[in-house]
Amino acid sequence: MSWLTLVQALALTMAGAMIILALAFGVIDRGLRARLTGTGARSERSLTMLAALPLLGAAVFVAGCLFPALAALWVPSMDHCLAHGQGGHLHLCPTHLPAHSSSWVGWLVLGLAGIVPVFYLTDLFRRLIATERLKSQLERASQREGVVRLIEASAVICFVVGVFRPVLFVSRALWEGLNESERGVLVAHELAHIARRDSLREVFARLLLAFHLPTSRARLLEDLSLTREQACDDQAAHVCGDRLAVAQLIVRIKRMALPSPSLSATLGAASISGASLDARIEHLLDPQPDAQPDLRLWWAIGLLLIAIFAAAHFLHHDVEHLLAALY
Amino acid sequence: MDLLWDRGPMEVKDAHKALASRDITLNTIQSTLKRLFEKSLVDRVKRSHAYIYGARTERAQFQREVLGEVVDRLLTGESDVMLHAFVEITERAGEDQLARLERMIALRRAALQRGKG
Repeated sequence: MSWLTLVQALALTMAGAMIILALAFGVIDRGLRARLTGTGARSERSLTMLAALPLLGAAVFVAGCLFPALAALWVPSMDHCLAHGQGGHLHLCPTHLPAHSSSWVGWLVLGLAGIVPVFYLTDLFRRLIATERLKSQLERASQREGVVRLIEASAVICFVVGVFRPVLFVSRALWEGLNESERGVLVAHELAHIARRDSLREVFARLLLAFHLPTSRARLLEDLSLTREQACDDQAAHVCGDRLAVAQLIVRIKRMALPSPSLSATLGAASISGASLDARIEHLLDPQPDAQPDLRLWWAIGLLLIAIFAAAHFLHHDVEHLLAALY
Repeated sequence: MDLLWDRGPMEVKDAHKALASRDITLNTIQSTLKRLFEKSLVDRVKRSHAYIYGARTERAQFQREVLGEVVDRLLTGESDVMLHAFVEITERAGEDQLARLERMIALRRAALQRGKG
């Protein structure tokens, strides 16, 4: 039972740290967002790191709590359990396992803390299945034309779908409305998504975002989506050698897709602002080839993780006291 | 459905024989065809003691209908699949916004050409 108690105590510590970090991130993410958007693929790495922050920070905190016990394996004088006495409160230590059995209150707290992430991950799994089902439906109902699969639809749409073996679909209405060079730009952009494995990147990011507040998660997803589109715009521009041609095509397709009055009424509820369209065009007009790899942010994250580790080292005794209240 | 489209109307046991290589039980095929009938995707007529099932619509028409539904759901944002669209499917742009962006691009193109000249 002692090992189970230790695992439960560590899981509670991790959950508590994740909740605190997610709340803290929820407070500062608006400010961070303003600093990070629009710097291309490098920013995507920074955003992914931010997505991982609650999980990573909590893991570092748990490591910090375990550090005295693990360090005592090499330096016995660091063993804090002996100093505090083994018969007393619970110790986060694999050497001196807790004498208590696991607590039902602890399992209840863990269950409550896990409700939102489990619900979110279940929904993600359902989305993955729906995505693969959509791909297979469209593959059956489309015609291959080179790397493109044409779907018989009057709507102006073009997208890549599929997590492990993504496929590019274009509606015939769009395909036949473009000239050869425009088709080249369109295909270059979408093939960039496939080459970069953006679908897998998105799944990975969404997994990391399970431990964020819903508001922070939505903002980070939006920013990640924009940086991926900008990276693919850059690659399409590299292939065709003309950034303005990519910008023109985006606006032209958006114009082709302007809904009719009747469709406009149907789409009313689904529409969102055109902010990402502006951001993509501005990025193409004013590229940032010397985009800095957000060094300040990486330094800040590194220092934060060190601070979390140090805080855990100093706070582990208080954490043990807090956990002991459950046993 | 593929089997019914390819080979035409048939009884459950004939479908079972045709799908023998896929190791599907007779009961599974029977319940699947019953569900397809309940969803109005297949018709059935009773001949002797057995039902004969046949596809209600042509394959091409069925696929067009499915495609129409899929596209409608994508356009209205009801579909919660993960995809990468060339332009955001549910993001609506206004005439003013597009005209402003076109002006920006034209100005940049003109500036570039002046620079080259």
